[in-house]
Amino acid sequence: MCQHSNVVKMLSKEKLLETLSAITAPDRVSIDSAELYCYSYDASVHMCKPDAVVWPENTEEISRIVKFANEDRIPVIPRGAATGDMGGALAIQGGIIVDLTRMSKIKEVRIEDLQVTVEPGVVFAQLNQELSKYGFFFPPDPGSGDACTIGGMVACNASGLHAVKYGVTRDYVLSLEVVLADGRIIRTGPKVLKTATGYDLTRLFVGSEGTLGIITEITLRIRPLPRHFATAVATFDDLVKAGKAVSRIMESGIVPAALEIMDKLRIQAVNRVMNLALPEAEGTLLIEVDGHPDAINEEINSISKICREEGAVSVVCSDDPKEREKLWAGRKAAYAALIRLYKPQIRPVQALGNDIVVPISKVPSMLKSIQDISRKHEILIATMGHIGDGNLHPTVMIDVTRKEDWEKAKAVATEIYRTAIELGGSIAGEHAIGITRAPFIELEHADLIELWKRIKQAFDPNNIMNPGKIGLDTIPKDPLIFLAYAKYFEGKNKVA
Amino acid sequence: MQNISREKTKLLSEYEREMLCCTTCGFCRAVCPTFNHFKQESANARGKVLLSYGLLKNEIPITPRMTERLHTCLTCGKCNVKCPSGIDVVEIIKAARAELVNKNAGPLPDQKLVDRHIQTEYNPFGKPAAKRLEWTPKAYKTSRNAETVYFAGCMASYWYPEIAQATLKIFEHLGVKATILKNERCCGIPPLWDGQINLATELAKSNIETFHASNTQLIVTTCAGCYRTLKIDYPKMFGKVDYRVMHITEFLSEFINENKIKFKGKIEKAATYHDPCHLGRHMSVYEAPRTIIQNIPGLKFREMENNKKDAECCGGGAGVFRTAFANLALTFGKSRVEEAKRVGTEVILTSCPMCMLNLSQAARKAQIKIEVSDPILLLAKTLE
Repeated sequence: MCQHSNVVKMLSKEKLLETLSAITAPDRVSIDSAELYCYSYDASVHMCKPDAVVWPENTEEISRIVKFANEDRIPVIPRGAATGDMGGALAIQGGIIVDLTRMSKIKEVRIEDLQVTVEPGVVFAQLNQELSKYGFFFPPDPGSGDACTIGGMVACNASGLHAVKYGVTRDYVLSLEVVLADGRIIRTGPKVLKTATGYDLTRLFVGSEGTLGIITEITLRIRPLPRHFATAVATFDDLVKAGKAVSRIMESGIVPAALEIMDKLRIQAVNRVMNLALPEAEGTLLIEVDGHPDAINEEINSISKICREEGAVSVVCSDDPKEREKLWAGRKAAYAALIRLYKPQIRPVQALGNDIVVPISKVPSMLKSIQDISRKHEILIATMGHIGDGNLHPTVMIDVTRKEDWEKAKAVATEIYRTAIELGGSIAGEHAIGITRAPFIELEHADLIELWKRIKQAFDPNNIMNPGKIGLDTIPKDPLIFLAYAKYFEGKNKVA
Repeated sequence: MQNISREKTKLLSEYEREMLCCTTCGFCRAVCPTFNHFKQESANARGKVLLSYGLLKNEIPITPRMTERLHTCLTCGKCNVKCPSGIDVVEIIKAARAELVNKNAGPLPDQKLVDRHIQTEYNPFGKPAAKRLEWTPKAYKTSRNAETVYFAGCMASYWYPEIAQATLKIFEHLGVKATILKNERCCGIPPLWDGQINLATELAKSNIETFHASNTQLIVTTCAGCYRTLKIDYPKMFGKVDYRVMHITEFLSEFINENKIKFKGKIEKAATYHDPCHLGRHMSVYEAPRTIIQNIPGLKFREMENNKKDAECCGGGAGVFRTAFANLALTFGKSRVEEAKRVGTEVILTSCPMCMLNLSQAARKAQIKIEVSDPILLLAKTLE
């Protein structure tokens, strides 16, 4: 578990509880060990205990919490649904976790302005359920969409299946209300579809992972819902062949609404857990087009033809909405489902080597490299990804109770990240940096870190806002820092 | 006869591997009713699995909040359905509650009181054990040899005798010879889910002995909770059992499918069906009750928005939740009643007397006019 370095030195826990209770309410603050234990985890591999959790209900409360924390130099960690797998929502140096879940109002739906304004705790799926009543939607579609919050999506610049056609969260954020580190409340711009006034702070806050301030209100651009869909499932006897088919699809001028790849391990896992009967080939492409019925028919036929020309073993097309729903439910379960392939402690570890992006033309090379790295290190890597935008999710499968496996995974991650950067890509497509990838940030942005630090300094001179994230601090240097599983090889615990 | 001295209850430590399968992805937040109420991680399925793990590994002290939160779970199983890793959260929570008892930190005070009633009178209400069969018609005689047994359970025996009476009436109509056993005791569901495994095991043993002594081949229950306990949990405790268990809706739907029920009356009402967690998600019995409802003449059936595997819990939570958190149970009940109202129904039908109790009390408290009943009560009426 995390050893706190600089936390709540001057302040007793009781004082912390008293102050936060006075700002919010006694039942909306906790320093109880059970509650703090739950908030020591998110969907990452780390475990760090906070000093307190607070559940504010409005911007003013957050402003007062942050002001107090700033005066006493206490770290403040904003937290949404904590579905992030890089440790972004964890209190790496202790401090106060500000859980935004209770701020879950959809404040305004303004269809005529193509906008919606929400509080940060609104869940992605709930927002889209509401927007669907008007025939509209907010397109970025992360795998965790049923649980993740809009605030978290903005803070991490999340995206997902449909980014290939519809882009990422950043493309939809028009205006933000933010509580800064000194408690000031600012608005980053007017609620309009475009503006060219000065520095674009809206876009600076998107993907800032809570290091610059706490986002308390979000205005998003929305789009009309597509009415018709067609899907195709194409299987290949070689993963790289599938990658080549993707390049051909993209250069044909068709923009698929989703273009996903899954390798054999992923398909096997999904078939087993979700009771799907997808063919278990080396490489499978899941393709979706949307739009006018005539257009999508023509497009799906062209895509199917390209796949066959590139050596697809089978191509199955469908326009049945139920099939579509099943297909994407399977795809979204593909990470966790891997866990049921082997004995329980052989787990997929998403955080190491995952979520790279390369130019679409470089996807076949990247896939080839992943296979080589897997063989070289004798480690299982299950790959899937949003191949249509070059975003791949190679996931190592390791025994989480063995130190050697973790060290191997770290070596694999380093090689995968290096390769992606050499191919002109990035180490993070949509899962942000958090704790786990902070040690790798210099591989990609060594020349920018100094400038980033100065931006951070301008917004948060006392470094209280989510410290230890994005690689702006000296710690962490090791992606395995505060590893939740370390107890299994430090001899304290043996798995039953 | 099998050896029923073998006791086998899975300990929390045996779930360590299962808990390691939790990737803490948090997808359960989307469905967990207690999380949606409290909006705190410790009230979410993920949080409760973490607390169970912390409890097992002695990583956290047992505080009152920890005990309370491990009981702040309806064991409705919505998380089990949602979990992409396929984790059996409900069984982990059950084992964690037993571990709390082992560590002298459970069950909660009100649950203890219920368990004491069960110990002395073999029912959770503390009503005299001698009055358990008071609901039976005067002419009714229990038999020693009972191939087919109607296991009324505590709820129908003491709270809703009309359910038990309707069952006998339907059996008579169909010419089914079923017996009520004199020594029937609480199936053990409250102690099983509040962590008092020893008490649950004693009750199971006593009931199994009664079944064996009577040569029981088939047990029919009208309670979803008894159904799960007898069918799943007894074999978990004692290995394979000799008897079969059917829920009344499964039993009767076979007769309906063979056109063996002669309906006389009509019930002109709009009805919906509330899937009890213990019949639906826990046991996957979804169609049988619907078959009955859809065959009752005059009844107009409408599904609620959340139905079958997505059905919301009534708030009862195996009874133990209701015992510990009475107001909260009614809050969940109210939201389910409102859901039924939204589809314009006059009657909510449910195949579990615990759900029936909690939903009807929730409706009364919220002053929502709606009837709550059991499909077999309506079925029995149409036979007149």
